[in-house]
Amino acid sequence: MKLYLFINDEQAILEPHNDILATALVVIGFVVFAAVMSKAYLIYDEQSHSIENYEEASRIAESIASWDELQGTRPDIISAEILEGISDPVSDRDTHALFFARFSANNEFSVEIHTDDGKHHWSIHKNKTAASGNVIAASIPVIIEINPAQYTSGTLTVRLWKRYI
Amino acid sequence: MKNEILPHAIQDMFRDRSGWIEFTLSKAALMITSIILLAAFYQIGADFSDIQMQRQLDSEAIGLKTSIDDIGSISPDSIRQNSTYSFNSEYPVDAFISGEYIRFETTHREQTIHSVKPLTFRTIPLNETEMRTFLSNNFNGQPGTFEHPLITDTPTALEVISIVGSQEVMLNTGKIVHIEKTSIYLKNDSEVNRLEVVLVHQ
Repeated sequence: MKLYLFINDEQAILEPHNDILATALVVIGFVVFAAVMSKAYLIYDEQSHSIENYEEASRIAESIASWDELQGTRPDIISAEILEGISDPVSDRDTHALFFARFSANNEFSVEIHTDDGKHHWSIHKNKTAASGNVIAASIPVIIEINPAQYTSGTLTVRLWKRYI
Repeated sequence: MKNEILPHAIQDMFRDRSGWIEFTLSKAALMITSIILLAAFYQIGADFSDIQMQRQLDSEAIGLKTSIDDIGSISPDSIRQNSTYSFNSEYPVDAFISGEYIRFETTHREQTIHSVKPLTFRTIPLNETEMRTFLSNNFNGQPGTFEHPLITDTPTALEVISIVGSQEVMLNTGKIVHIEKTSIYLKNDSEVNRLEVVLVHQ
C-alpha cells in the first residue's frame, strides 16, 4: 500500500524541477563554451598554417629573385631572356630543371612574373599538376631587364599549395 | 506571512512532503549529469594540454626549419654561409631530419606526439666532407667542386642526391646543429651549372 502511494504520488513537482532547470542551463552553457573554444582553435590553427605558408612562399620568392642564373647584366635584375627560356612553353630544359632543383622535391609551387605595364607575362610551372587545395600566394616587386637598354618594374608571385605531409 | 500571499494550490505544493520517487529519480539524474559534466570538463582540460604540447613541439620544429630555410634562401655569394641551431626544449625531444622534412617527436601522457615540417630548400643531412666523398663514389671520383664538377645532367645528379636525403638521420638534441650552404657544380656539355644545397650536420 505504501509503495503504491509512493509511486502514484504526483505532487511536489516544483522542488526537483528547479534543479533540473539549473542543470540544463549549466549543460547548455558548457556546450556553448566548448563550441566557441573549438571554433576559436580551428580559426587559430588555420591562420597559423596560413602565416607559416605565407612566410615560406615569400622566402621562395626572394630566393628566386636573387638566383644568380636569372640575373641580367646587372645583379638583382631579372633577365627577360632567361625567363623566356624557362617559362611555359619551356625551351631551356636544363635551366628549368636547375631552377626547381634548389628547392626540396615536396614543394609544389608555380611562379608568375609580369611587368607592371602588362606587356610581358611569364609563368613557370614545375609540372602539369594544377593548384589544388589551400593555395597561398606571396608577391615581391622585381626589376626586369627586357633588353640591355630597357628596364621595367614588375611583380614576382609565388603560388604555393599542398603543404601538409 | 509567506503562506498567506501564495495561492492555495501552491501552498499545498510546498507543504507536501511526499513525491519521493520524483525526488529520488531527479536527484539520481542530477548526480549522473554532474559526473558527465565533470568528466567533460576534465576531458577538455586534457585536450587543451595535448594541444598545447603539440603547439610547443610545432614551434620548436619551426625554429629549426626556419634556421635551415634562412640559410637556404641566402645567395651563394653572400658572406654569411652558415649558421647554427641549438635545441632549447624543456622536455625530452627526438629530432630527425631527412632531405625532405624534419620530424620532432616526444611522449606526452603516454602518447607519442609528432610534428613534421617540410623543408623548402634542398637539404642533405651530411657534412661537407661526407657529401663530397659520397659524390666521388657515385660520379667516378668527381667531388662536384668548382675544379672537379660532376659530369652529368641535372636530373641524374638530383636522383643520386635524393638517395642520401631519403634516409632519416637522428639529431642529438644535446649538441649544436650546424647548417651551411654549399654548391655542387655540374658540367653538362660545355656548360657548368651550380646546384645549391643546404648541409645539416652535427
